[in-house]
Amino acid sequence: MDTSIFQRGKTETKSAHLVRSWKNKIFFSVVLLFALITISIVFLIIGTLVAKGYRQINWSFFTQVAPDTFDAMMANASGRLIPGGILNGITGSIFLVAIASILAIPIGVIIGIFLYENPHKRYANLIRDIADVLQGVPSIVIGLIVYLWVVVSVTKGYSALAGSVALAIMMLPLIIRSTEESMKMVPESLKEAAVALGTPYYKVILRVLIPSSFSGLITGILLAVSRVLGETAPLLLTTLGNSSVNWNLSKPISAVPLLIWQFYNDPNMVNMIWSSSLFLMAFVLILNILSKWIAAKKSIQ
Amino acid sequence: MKKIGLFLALALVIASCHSGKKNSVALSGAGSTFVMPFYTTAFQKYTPLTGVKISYGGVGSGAGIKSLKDRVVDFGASDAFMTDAQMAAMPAPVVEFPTCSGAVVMAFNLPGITTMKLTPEVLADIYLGKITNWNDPALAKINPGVKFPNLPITVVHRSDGSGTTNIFTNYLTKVSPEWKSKYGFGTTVNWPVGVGGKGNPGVAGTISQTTGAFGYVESTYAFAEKIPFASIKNQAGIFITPSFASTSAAGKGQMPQDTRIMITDSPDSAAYPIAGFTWVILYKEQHYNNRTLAQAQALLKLWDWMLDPDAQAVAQQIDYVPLPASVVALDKSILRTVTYDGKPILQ
Repeated sequence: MDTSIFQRGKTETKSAHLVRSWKNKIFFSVVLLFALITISIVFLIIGTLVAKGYRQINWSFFTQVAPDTFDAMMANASGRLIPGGILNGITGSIFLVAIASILAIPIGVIIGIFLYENPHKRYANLIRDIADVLQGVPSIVIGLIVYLWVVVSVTKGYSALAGSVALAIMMLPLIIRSTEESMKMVPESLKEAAVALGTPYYKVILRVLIPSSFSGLITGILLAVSRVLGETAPLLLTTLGNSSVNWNLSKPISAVPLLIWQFYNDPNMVNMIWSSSLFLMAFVLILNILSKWIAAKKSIQ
Repeated sequence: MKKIGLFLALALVIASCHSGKKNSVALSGAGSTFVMPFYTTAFQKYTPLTGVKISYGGVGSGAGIKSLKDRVVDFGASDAFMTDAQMAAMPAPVVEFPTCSGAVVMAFNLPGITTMKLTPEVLADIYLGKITNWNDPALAKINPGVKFPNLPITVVHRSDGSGTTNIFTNYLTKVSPEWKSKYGFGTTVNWPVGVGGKGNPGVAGTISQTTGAFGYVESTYAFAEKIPFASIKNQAGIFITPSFASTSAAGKGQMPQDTRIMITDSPDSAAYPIAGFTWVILYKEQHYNNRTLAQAQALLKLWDWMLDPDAQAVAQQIDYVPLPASVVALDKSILRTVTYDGKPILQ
């Protein structure tokens, strides 16, 4: 009868074994439970957005600007879909993020390379720490600062430029750190080989370092973009919103998160909140999956 | 990649310069979230008529005044008129005028009950925390035939600074000496009881999701979300349901020249007592920050149009209350005091 216990381990009694296996089971189920909670939050969010928002998603959702309250009210009263879409928000978000990327990517990548090349210099550590601090600055504070710097002083009014600057400031630390990290992944031997062949150092950076860490760079940039795409607070203080499509840097512009806020404040637009949120969520999700896919491709090489 | 980026940058700069010349007159404003549906709807009607593009941001009444103070918008919009102290803090003299009015309704969530009568005393007692249960005899007395449940009253108020709160607490101050001495009125007050909700949507949402909840929201929200609301006994002693006509009656009183008036607790027998105007604020001298005469003219013409029947009809369509003719006339005379280099802009 006791043989099975002796097979498992001579020093272990039956009760100690039971305790151990139960502990194992308990901890396993706790871990499983928390994992399930995390996963189910994501699925609940997506599920709720799809269930509440899918009806409004149609061709006009992507091709027309935000409806006015009267049209929405009439549509609600007769049980029709709210006409119009979020074209002004979509174009605004793309424009803002594009300008922010043009501002933030070159600076961020250059600083990232500097940090990688001079890992232990005093200034490098200082810059790294400051970048970390910048990452921790609340977005509303960035909005306030940009309001002072750009809205009041430069464009003398709410503008797309101000919004882009705010988003660029938020992207900068993310790009700096991801550039540095992906450069670290490049094998040292690759660099040494290039230097040994007599390549000038700037060419080593441009032709060896950047190309071989390219997928890492893109991943970092995509993550930074998806991070700022949903920002509302800094835009509320810098771009104001616009009910038509705008491609002018010095004029107010709309964005998808701003439209969601606007719809939230209008009782007739409730259905538009959900479809716009679904769109934003899907857009960010696609960017995230894309960056994961690129990162995975890199690790295979 | 780099070349593409550079090309994109160039293309964008060219595009922005180009479009900048085409529509030289564009106006912007910021402020009240309450009036935003009216303004954006009316502006979308105005743009095809004139080509003037207007962007409006619902950032809150206080933030709207701040934006105007920093001169980053052409106009500010506020649900509470500016106090003397606020006026003194502005860098230059401003003018303000009402554009429409709205009612604040007392919304509730009680299963099976769709109408309710309230006296000012009972309303104040609920917000003072003296009446805490729906089965209170005071409520039964003014509502014969309504069977109130034994349920605690969940009082809901705004958590953020708000013109709606200003109107509601102004009313409480007029009808309850105790409220006046203890809490007063303003865009935020120190609430004795209740839970807070962010914005009108927050309060409306809390009420519709909480059985036994009671709170004040702009009428538009109660109408749109079909939340039941109470009729209130006015100064003349008549129970009045908030409606287009009764809110309109509240605005009919004598308007002071500076338009700074609260229309709560109106003596008019047909008036709903918890109502208020919403204001637009402009600089009296429009030549600042290198503004062109064209820009100033566009701004003044816009607001002149917003007072005309076409635009005021838009207000009515989406449950705001148009201005009485006397107030429109006063507003138009105020608009004609706005100048560019000292000369009136509108004739």
